[in-house]
Amino acid sequence: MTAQPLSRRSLIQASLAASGGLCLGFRLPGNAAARQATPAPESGTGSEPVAFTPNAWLTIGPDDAVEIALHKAEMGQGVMTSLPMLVAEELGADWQRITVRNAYGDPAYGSFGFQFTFGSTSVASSFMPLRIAGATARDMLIAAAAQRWGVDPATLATRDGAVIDRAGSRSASFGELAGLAATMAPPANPPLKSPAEFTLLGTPVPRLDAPAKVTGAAIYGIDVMMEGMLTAVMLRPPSFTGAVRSFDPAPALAIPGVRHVLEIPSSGPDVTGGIAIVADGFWAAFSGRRALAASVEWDLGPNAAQDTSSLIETFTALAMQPGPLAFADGMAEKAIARSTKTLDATYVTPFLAHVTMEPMSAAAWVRPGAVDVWTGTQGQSFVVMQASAIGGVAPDQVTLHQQFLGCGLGRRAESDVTGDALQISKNLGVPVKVIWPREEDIAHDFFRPMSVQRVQAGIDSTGAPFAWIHHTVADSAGITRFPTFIATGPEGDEIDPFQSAGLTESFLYAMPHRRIESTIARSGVPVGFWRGVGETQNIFVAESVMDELAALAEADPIAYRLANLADPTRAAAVLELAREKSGWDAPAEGIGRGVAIADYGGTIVAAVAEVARTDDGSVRPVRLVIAADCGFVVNPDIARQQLEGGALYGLSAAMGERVEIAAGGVAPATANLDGYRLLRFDEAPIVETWLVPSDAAPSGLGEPAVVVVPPALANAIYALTGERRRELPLG
Amino acid sequence: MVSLTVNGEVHDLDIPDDMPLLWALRDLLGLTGTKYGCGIGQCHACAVHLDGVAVPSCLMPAASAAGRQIVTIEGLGAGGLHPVQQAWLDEGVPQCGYCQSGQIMAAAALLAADPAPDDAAIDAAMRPNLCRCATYGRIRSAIHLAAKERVS
Ligand code: FES
Ligand code: FES
Repeated sequence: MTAQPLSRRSLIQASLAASGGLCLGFRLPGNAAARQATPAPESGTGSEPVAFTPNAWLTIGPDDAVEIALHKAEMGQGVMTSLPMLVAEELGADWQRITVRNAYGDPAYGSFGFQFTFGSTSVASSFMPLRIAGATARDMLIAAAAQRWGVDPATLATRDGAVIDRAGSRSASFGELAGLAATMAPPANPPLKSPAEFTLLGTPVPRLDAPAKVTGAAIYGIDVMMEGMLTAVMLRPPSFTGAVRSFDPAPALAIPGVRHVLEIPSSGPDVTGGIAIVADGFWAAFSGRRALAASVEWDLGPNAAQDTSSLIETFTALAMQPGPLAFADGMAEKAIARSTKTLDATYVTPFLAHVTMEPMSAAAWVRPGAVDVWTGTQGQSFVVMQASAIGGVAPDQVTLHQQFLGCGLGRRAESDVTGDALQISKNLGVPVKVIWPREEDIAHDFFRPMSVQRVQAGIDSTGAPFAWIHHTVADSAGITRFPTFIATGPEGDEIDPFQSAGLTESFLYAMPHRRIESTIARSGVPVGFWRGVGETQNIFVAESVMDELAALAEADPIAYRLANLADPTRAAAVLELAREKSGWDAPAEGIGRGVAIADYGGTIVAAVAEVARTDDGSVRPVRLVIAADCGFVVNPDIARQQLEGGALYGLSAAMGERVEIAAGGVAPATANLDGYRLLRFDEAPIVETWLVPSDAAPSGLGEPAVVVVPPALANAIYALTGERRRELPLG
Repeated sequence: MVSLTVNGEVHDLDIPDDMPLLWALRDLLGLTGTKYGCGIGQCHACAVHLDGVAVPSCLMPAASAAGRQIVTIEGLGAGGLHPVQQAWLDEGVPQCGYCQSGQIMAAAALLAADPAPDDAAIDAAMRPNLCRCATYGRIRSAIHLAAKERVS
């Protein structure tokens, strides 16, 4: 195998040419989405033109086209490219002949029995199965050629979409062999390539979805249109525990284009009911919503008095008392008293909204015996189960038409908007697309939980961390909606493992006495999974506290971390890389630097943030250096995209994001993008990303950088100003 | 009746006076490349060119765009890729892609007015456009690249 130089431009041009100008190098999600892989023919002589479908992952057509099934949601993280690369590598395919279709339903696509896209796990969980799928097909194609040519299969190989003999004297394309290959027995253990043999994996193959995303051709859930479809917007109560008391539909129905106004019940835990305004298009529906808002009376429910400051007060009071035990090592309470120096610090992280760039949207058509759903979802199986339940049909009568996701961020793991679309369509019997106005999208998000975290910690006479008692108080996303996530702590308490994520087994530092307590607050504010999940709060606190301990010990923050790693095998190299690339040891005038490191799902990631004082006296981030060890990197350019985007996503949260709770709901001031402050272009510092070369099994990259940037930033502010910031956001 | 000239074609639309251009483009003309993100002028996912200037289409009544040249992402490259779109591919900008129509329209309008913008000019032109995937660094590189390719 000879490695081909792959420049991004030549590949893009080749793929544009191969697909006829601006046509896409993949099937647009649509009717093909739910099509199952065609079964392999029972018999075949090898001469008739039939497709070869050795497994759920690929089909090779007689025309040499290789169609690869994508079982994960393309939400920006690049799986539409990186996962097919795994199949194509082992197959020896011609990358220009690859098409990708969104696929649903085969048991092979599931994780824990469900098909969903979560936790930066797509590449890691697909790395072996997809390579094996490609290798299986390769061996069957080789067996077919060996039979046709009457030679030993060991003398053959695949390359660029053909089986060749190693002597180079003959070749047959995959398409020519497809029919015969379908009759070959699948190999039990097809050999996989060693990394040294890879020609595609490890190279910056351009994303297959990029051409459609620069021409406006890419279709997201919000873009779906079909004959006879109506558009709905929702009006939900202003409070999380609210409900409709009464409303007068007449003012909304008076708006030209508004067809129906209907009340919709809750479609699941932590989802309120509401009123759907259904119209010919968005604008009429949105105008109807405005008219309706004036006429509706709400019952605000039991939590109508709730606001941010009362919640912080309640959470803080809980944090000051001992809490349910999540993890214990040593005798932390006694050890605090025996420490040489101690600290007692309370940190606060706010509720955060996802603000997927595409507001929540989905279309559905419920009719007798069949339900179709068009949306971009991370929770593929959950949407199908929901459609089956609401539509009253069997799951195999549901067709999920997966679309591109205008960000996932954990928000699209929820199925509230699909619940709306299904219920409205069921009522009306026509296809209905629901679009949540942005105000609705933020006001009825499942937020990153607010947390109050108290840490008492101490160092010994050498300065090393000696004791650490850490109590997190936050709401649990699992307790209402995924009760199976809830675990039992060492003392029998109900524990949400996400709430102590990053502080227990994956905690990077050695110390003799550590106690993690975790109180589920049950405030009633709907919370969910937000890119980076529990670690986004906990690593902010833990890595800020490590900085506080380094200061107590009068040690350099990187040296202090290096000296106290529990297992320096990979973490030390990542810290050293961040130190070297950031120029940590060469102080710069007027610049403060801060560091943070974490183990996120097996990926070790570190950030060095640099801040400077601006002319108006405020402090602004000027540079982020990210170093990561995520094992083998399937596509280094997509990997960098994830680190760059993740770092700035974390920075956005750290600088300006905060949902304000008032009167039991989201304060209108933070319910749209004027008041919910996302990082803007001119506020984004330079981001430099560095990957530790590795042939180890891959781990994820979508979330790790998110979790280390906020503490690195707070630590940099401390380095510059001497001020320890313990409450987010910092901007 | 409102007469709109979109990507060189004239369309006569029977729409209410207050309907924003965004929804006329998306729901009536099926031009879904222009995106909705906030409806209040804060994200510019909805940016289109109005007589060559990038504007958010979610606030402007379609009626007020009558008689002016409206160009959307679908009409940007005349039969092929506009240099900005090509630069976007060369720099590997898009992630989820949702904001990118607006980003590209903003960048194309900037380069039409200022063929060699410096970083400050890019900051000023791109500040209105939000990207939740935070592709900002690559957008900056792509704008510089498109400017350079145009000169050479
Ligand atoms: S949708 Fe127009 S600015 Fe956000
Ligand atoms: S690429 Fe996803 S919002 Fe910009």
